[in-house]
Amino acid sequence: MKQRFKNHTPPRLPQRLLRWYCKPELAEDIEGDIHEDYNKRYNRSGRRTARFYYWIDVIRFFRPFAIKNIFKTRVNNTMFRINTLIAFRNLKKNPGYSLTNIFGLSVALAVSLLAITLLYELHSFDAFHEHEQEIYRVQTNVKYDNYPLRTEASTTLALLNYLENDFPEIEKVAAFRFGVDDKVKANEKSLRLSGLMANQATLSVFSFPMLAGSREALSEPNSVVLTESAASKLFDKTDVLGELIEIGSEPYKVTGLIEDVPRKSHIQFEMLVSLSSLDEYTEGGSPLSNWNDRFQSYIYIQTGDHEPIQRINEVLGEMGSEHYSNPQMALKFSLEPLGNIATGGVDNNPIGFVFPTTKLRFVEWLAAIVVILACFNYTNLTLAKSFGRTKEVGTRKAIGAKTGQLLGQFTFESVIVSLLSLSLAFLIFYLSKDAFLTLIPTRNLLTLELSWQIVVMALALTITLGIVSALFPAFVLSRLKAIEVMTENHSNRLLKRQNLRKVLLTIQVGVAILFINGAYIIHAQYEFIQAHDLGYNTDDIYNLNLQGNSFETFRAEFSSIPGIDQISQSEFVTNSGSAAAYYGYYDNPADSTYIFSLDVNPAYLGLHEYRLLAGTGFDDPDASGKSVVVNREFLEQFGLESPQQAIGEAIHFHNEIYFIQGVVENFHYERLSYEIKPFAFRLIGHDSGFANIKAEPSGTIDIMDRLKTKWETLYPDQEFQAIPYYQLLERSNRGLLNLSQIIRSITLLSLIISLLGILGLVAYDARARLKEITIRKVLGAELKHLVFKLSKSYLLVFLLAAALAIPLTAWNFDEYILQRYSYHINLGISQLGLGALILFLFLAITISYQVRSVSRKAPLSALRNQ
Amino acid sequence: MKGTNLGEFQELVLLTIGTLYPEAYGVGIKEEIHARTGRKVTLSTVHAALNRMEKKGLIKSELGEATSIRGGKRKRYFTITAYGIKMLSEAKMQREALWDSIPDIVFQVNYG
Repeated sequence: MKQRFKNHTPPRLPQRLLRWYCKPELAEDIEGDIHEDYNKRYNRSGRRTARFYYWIDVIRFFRPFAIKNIFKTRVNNTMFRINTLIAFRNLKKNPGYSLTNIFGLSVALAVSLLAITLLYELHSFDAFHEHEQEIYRVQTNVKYDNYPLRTEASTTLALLNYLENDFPEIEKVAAFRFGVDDKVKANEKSLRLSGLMANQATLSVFSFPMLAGSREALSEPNSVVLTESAASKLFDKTDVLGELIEIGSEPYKVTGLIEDVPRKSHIQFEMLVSLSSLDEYTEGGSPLSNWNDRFQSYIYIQTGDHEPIQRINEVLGEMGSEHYSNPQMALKFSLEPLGNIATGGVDNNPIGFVFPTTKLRFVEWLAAIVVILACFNYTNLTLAKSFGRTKEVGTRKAIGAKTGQLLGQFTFESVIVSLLSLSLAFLIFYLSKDAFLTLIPTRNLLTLELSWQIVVMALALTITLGIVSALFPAFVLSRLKAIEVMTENHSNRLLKRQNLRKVLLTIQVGVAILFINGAYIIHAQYEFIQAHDLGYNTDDIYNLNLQGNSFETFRAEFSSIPGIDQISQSEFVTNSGSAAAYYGYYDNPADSTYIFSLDVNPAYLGLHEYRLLAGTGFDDPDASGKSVVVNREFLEQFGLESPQQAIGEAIHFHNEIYFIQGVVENFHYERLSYEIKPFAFRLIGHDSGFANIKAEPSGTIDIMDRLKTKWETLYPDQEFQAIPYYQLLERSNRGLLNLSQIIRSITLLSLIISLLGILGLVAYDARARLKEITIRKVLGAELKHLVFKLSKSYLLVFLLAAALAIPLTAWNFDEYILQRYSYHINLGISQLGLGALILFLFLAITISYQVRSVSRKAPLSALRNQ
Repeated sequence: MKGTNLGEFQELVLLTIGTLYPEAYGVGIKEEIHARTGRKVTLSTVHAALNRMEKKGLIKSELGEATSIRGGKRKRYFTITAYGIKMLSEAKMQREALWDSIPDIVFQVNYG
């Protein structure tokens, strides 16, 4: 009967799987049975069925009775237990060393946890949109004159028509526009809601979850879609379809209700107003056809099922030159995938949240550096400590341990240390999370929540770190020969292998010097900017947003407040990020360039104490709407010889002719990162902008409170918006301050890690040379000789590190950071020498202390055990 | 005697081993059960039961000859031990005692 069956070869993979998991004593029998069944099936139902059932059978046999204990049999259980025991004993034996190691690693891990969480969170932005992969934003790339290329997130609505009709690849086009009045009234209730205009397709391109109404809710003019919380704020209920509300002074009908915009969306709003309402209340050219109206509108396209966007990009690229004829400006449109926006580099005119790429890279780099430092530290300390373990290794080898087993043991110890560090790192992460969030741009959207994915990544990173940093010490230790260890010379031989230790130490010291210098330089630059003479006085000045109220009435009312000296008016506030610039030239139209400008009232220049070089300013009765006051750079740009000569000259500016009424010394109308360009003050001719209120320098009286009280009695409907000038300046230097704070904290962390590492290293070195030191002492050496003897190798390391780090700091900061500021400090000996000095002092103190404590031991007790 | 009772499937396997004596092995037992009861049992279920009963001492096994149909693997032949016989007959007696104590009337009632 058996002869009827021919033997067929079963599939190899399941066969191997079976052999891997099956208990050896059962394997033959089970494999034979499955094989027999396979052959029978083969003949009955064919190869495919038989193979399929072979798989099924192998999987079915994966049951407790048949599985060998994979973990217990492979890695010897007893050994695992003993290794754990030894690891913990070693940690306990040298608590100082262990704490240094664990602390260093956990700080590094906490920093990388912050970085990983941030990255993870940013990359999950906008992922909730169903068509995320198919949505692109149209952005505008502008190249003026010789300014660097500027990419703006905004674009012009004039593109809408083309995008909707001319591209078969494009399925739908969504458009947003700023400019919705935030004053909303309903049922006698009035409050402020942030709103965006949006076109009909918006709700179908973006998958904001709808609660009521259709995805076409924005098709009719004067329709509004509210978020859930906006609706309940307005109506105390969410059943609001068909209700009427007043936005600004226009009536709108609620046609849809959506869930609150998810936190992880770069577009944030409380209501959407239909874009078709636009035509009815804009004066002048409709934004829908005005190519120059490109700072308030945003367009997103949705391509059909993963269509390539190459052709769209090409056509859009050429469209710019067709519609903009300005020879000094080259303009192009391009596409950016939705997923890149939150982390993208485009932070000009953003519609909402964006985390600048440079800052992200910065955080990543810092995390990487700290992690590498901590690894070096571990490797170094472990190498140093390996002196104390040579006997252990020798003994183990002598009784038959294999190199691989020792390698495993040391790696295992390191992994245990790093896992312990990870738990501490989570603690540090939680404690430092909020402080970190204040240093990065979050717009209250980032929370740095942990998720299981992050925990898994952190675990993987930790174990990798543990293995990597243990690799070299473990290798050195496990390769020791038993005979070498048991003879006298072993420590000398071991010392020879520690060149790597010196290299690592050099890098550690060098990085520490680099960081200290960096922190000091950036702090100095911040102080420099804060203290920098702007060219005008901002002391005791408060800027108040007039919100369209009459300036003359305002001045009449507010001048009577006690403690107020003068009041002037300006279109916007200098150094606050606002700027205006128009084309202009002196006598030759070919010299045309951008002239920055600010409209002010006659009192402005005097109140801010601008330094007049010539002419009279606007106080002169001759001054008219055709007068300008220019800065010194203006004269230089257009080749006017002296301030006196310039007075009365005619200039062409903003398509009109103006006469120079005065010349002021150069001043900073923008942050110090910007160079001073030609500038012209004009007289303001309308009731808008800001009131600049100069208070008497009494210091103690709270002017803000008085201003607020007065404002609220005069204009009860309008929000009081005022800010002291010094606060505004602080705010505009925020970026630098944050950079300074981040660098300072990272410096502190890496310094702590490095210093602890050096401390541990010196301590071990001194201990290892106990015998030498004691004998020298017995023979009459003095403490300073001993210190010098031990310092020699460290001095070399220190000098090398300083020689590498100082030029690197100078180059790095000159080239990359300070160059961003047109006005910056010059690097001097104090900025470059500080780090080296601190490290030198630390090394000197540590070494003297260690040598002292070692040499204090009574010679007898020191030598007895050697 | 808690826990020493035979499970229903174990009893079935045990009886089949007896039937096939002296050539009861995995696939053979599986096929015999299928032939006699129509139950489709899987190889792994049979093996699990065999493994368990061998641990309890109800059956013992020895390796037999290798054949090409089994890919050159040897068969493991199972035979019932004395303890196994005892357990089987105990189970049988329990059943019979139960059968005997069912009143005749039960079988006469027409449940329709």
